[in-house]
Amino acid sequence: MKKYILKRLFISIITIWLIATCCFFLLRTLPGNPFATQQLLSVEMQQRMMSYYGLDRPLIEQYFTFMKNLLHGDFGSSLKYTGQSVNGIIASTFPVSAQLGLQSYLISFPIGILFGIIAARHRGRPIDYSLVAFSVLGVSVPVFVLASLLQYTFAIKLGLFPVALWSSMKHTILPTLTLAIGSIASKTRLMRTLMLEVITEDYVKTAKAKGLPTWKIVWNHQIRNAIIPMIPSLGMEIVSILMGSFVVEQIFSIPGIGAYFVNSVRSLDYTMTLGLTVFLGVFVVSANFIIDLIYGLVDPRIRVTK
Amino acid sequence: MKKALALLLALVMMIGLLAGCGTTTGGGEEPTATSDTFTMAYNGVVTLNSVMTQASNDHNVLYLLQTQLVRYYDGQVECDAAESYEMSDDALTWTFHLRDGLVWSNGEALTADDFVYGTRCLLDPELGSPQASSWFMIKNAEKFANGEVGWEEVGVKALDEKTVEFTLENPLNSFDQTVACKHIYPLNQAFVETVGVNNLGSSVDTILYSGGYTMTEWVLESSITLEKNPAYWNAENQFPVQTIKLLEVEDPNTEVAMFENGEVDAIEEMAAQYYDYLSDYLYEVNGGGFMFLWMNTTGGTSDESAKVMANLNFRKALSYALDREGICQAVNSANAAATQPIDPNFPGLNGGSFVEEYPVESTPTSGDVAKAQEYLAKALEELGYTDASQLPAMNIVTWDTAEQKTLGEAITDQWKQNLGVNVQLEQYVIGTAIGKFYEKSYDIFLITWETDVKPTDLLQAMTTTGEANPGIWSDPEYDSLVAQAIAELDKEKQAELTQKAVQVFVDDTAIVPLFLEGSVHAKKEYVDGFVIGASDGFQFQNLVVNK
Repeated sequence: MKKYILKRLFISIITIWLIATCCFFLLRTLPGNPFATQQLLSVEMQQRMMSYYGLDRPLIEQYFTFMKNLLHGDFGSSLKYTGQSVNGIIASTFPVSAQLGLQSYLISFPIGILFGIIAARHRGRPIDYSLVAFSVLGVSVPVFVLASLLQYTFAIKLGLFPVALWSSMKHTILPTLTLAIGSIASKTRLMRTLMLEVITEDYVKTAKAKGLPTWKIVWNHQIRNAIIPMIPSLGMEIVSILMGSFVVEQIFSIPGIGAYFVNSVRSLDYTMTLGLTVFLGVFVVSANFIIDLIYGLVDPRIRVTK
Repeated sequence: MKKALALLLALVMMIGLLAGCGTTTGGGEEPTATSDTFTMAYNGVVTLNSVMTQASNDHNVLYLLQTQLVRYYDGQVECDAAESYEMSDDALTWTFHLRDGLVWSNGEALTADDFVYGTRCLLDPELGSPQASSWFMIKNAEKFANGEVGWEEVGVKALDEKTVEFTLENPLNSFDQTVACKHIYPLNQAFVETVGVNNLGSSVDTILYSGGYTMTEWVLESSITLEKNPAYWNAENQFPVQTIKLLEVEDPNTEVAMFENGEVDAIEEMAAQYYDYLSDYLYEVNGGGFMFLWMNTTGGTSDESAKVMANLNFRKALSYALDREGICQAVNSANAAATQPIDPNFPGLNGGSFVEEYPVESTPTSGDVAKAQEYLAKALEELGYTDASQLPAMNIVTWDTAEQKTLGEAITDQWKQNLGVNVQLEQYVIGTAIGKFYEKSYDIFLITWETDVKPTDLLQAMTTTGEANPGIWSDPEYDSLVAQAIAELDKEKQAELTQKAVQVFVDDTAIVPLFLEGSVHAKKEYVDGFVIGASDGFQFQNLVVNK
C-alpha cells in the first residue's frame, strides 16, 4: 500500500510539472502580447512594459524563473492587474467559488440521490414519470436561462432575494439554486439508472426471499451497491464544483474564480493563466489520488493491495 | 410508505437548505440605500495604480480619489488643486499655483513636490509607465524616459511649496487641457517608496488619497466602496454624497434587473439592446473614441491586394459605398456617423462647433453609391481588371466582440451589395488582433482611437511617426500641415491649418472615419448632477440623490 501511494505521488508530481511546462510554452506561442489592448499603446511603450515585467528575456530563462518561483508556491504577479499577485487573487476568489459550489452540492447530492431512488422504486408510475420529466428538463435547460428565470421570479416579481451580488447569505440563495437544479436533475437520472440495475440482481432476490423488511433491502442491498459507480466521477465533480461556474458567477455578479479562467487567457495574462492552470491541475490530480484511495475502502473488490 | 417518503423528502430538502446556508460566512441584511448613498453599476477597474494604469475606466475612479491641478467638469477645464495658472507669452512655460490647505488623507501637507514627483513617476524609465508618451511635449521628457538625461534636465519644477512650473519642448496653448485630460495625479514620494511603486493602488491601504473620496473597500472585479474625504480642500461645497458604491456587473440583463429593482441608482454603460426598454432613464454622451477603417497602403496580405489598396480610387470607392448612418443604427444608435476625423463636440472659434465652422469636403454620411461605383470603375481600369470579381482576396481585421462583429458584417455587406467587392471579415482576441495591427498583416483594420481634447491631438497621432500610425500611411504634406498647426499660436491660423490638414486626410482616404463612439448611461429620476464626461472621470462633484 505504501509503495502504491508513493508511486502515485511521484506520478502526480510529474503530471503537474508537465502541465506547468506545456502550458508555459503553449501560452507563448499565442500571437500578440499582454500589453496590446484596445487602448492602443505604441510599439515602443509595449516594449517598455515587456522589459519591465522581464518578458523580453530569453524564453528559457523566463521558464526557469517561473519554475523556481513555482517550487516556492509563488505564481508571480498578474500582468493585467498591476500590483496584484496571482496567489492573492486565487486566495480571495477561490473561497467564494468554493462556497457556492459546496452549497449547491450539499443540496443537490442528497436530493438527487433521493429522487433517483424514489423514481426507481416507483418505476412506471406517475411519480417516476414526473421525476424523469423534471430531470430531462433540468439537464436540458441552459444555466443562463434558469438563472434569468429565477432572478425574474424571485428577485423582481416576488422581491424575496436580491438580483445579484455576493454580500450576505440571502445573496447566495439564487445562484446556489441555479447550480443545484441542474445537478439534482443529472444525479436523479444517474441514480435511477443505477438503482434499476441492482434491483434485478440475484442478491436482491435472495434478500427478498429471506423475508427481509423492504427498507433493509433498499438500504443494505440496493442503495449501497448502486452508489458505488458514482464514486470515480466524484473527484472531477468536486473539482469542477469548487472551481466555480463562469456563467453563474457572471450572471449573479459573484466575485469568484470562474471569470479569471476565461478572461486571463483572452487578455494574455500569462502569469495569471499559468497560476490558475497549475492550481487547477494540483486540485484535479490530488482529488483523483484521494478518490482512488477511498474507492478501495468503499468497494472491497477494487482494493489495491498488489 | 408514500407518506413517509414524502416526509423524508421534505426533511432532506430542509436539511440541504440549512446545510447550504450554514457554510456562508457573511450575514445580516444589507443596509438600505439612503440619500447619503449612491450606487452605480460601472465598468470596473483593473488597477488604481495611477502610474501603471492604461485604461480610462481606472481614471474614472481615480478622479474621485485624487485631486488634480486642473480637471474636466462637464466638458470644461476647472481648477482643482491649482488656484490659478498662467501660460507665458511664448506658450512654452505653464505655471500652476496651488491653493492653501491641500492635505493628504493621512494629514500630511500636499505640496508642489508631490505633483512633480507624480509627473516623474509617469516618465521614469525604471517604472515603464504606459502613459509616458502622453507627456513627451514636456521639455526633455522623452530623453528622460529613454534614460538619456537625468531628471534635473526635465522641464517640471517645483518653484516653491505652492508653485509647479512646466517647460515645454514646443509652444502649446492648450497644455491645461492636456493636463486635465491626461491626468497628473500627485504622489507622496515617502509613501510611494514605503509601499513600493508596483504595489501602489493595489488595495485600499496602498493609496494615499487627496480627492473627494477615500476608498474603504475594494473587491477586485466586483465592487468598490468610497467614503467622503473630509480632508479634501473643497469637501464642504463639493461631492455631497457620503458613500458611493460602484458595482461591477458584467451581465447586461442582471444590470437592468438591478436598476429596475432599485438596487442600483445608475448604470455607467447601457447595453444597446435595452435602449428602448429603459428609454425614460437614458442619458447619452458622445465622444471618447473614433471608429476608423485603416486601409493598409504599404503592403498587406498579398502583393496583389497591396496594389489594390494602394489605389486611391479604390479606397474612395470603399469609403463612398458606406452608409454610415445605417451602420450606426445597426450597431449602436448612440454612435454618431462621421466622415472626417474631428470630434463634432470640439468648439470652434465663433460659438459653433469646429466642424461647422471649418468644414471639409467629404462623402455624405449616408454614402453615395453612384459615385462609389464610378470610383470603382476607374480603379478597376487603372489596375487592369475588367470586373470586381477578379480582385484578389482581401481581409478586414478586428477584435472579437459581438459589437465589432455586427459592425464588420454591416460594412462588408454594404461593399458586397453596392460594389460587388468581397472582403473577408476576420476577428481575433484583442491581444492577437492588436498584435496584427502593429505587424501590418491585414488589408483593412477596424479600430478606434481616442479623440482627446483638441482637433490636432488625433491628427498628430495619425502622422507618419504618430502613435496611432503603425506605418501604413504617410503623406509629407499632411505631416507638415499638422506640425504647423500644432506650433501655430494664433487660434484662427491654427484652425485654418487644421482644416487643410483634415482635407488632405480625407482626400487620401487611407484612414477612413466611420463614427464617433457614443455611450449611454442610465440614471433614476431622483439622481441629479450626474456627469460622466466624454473625457475620463466620474464627475460627481455636484451629484445628489433625492430619495
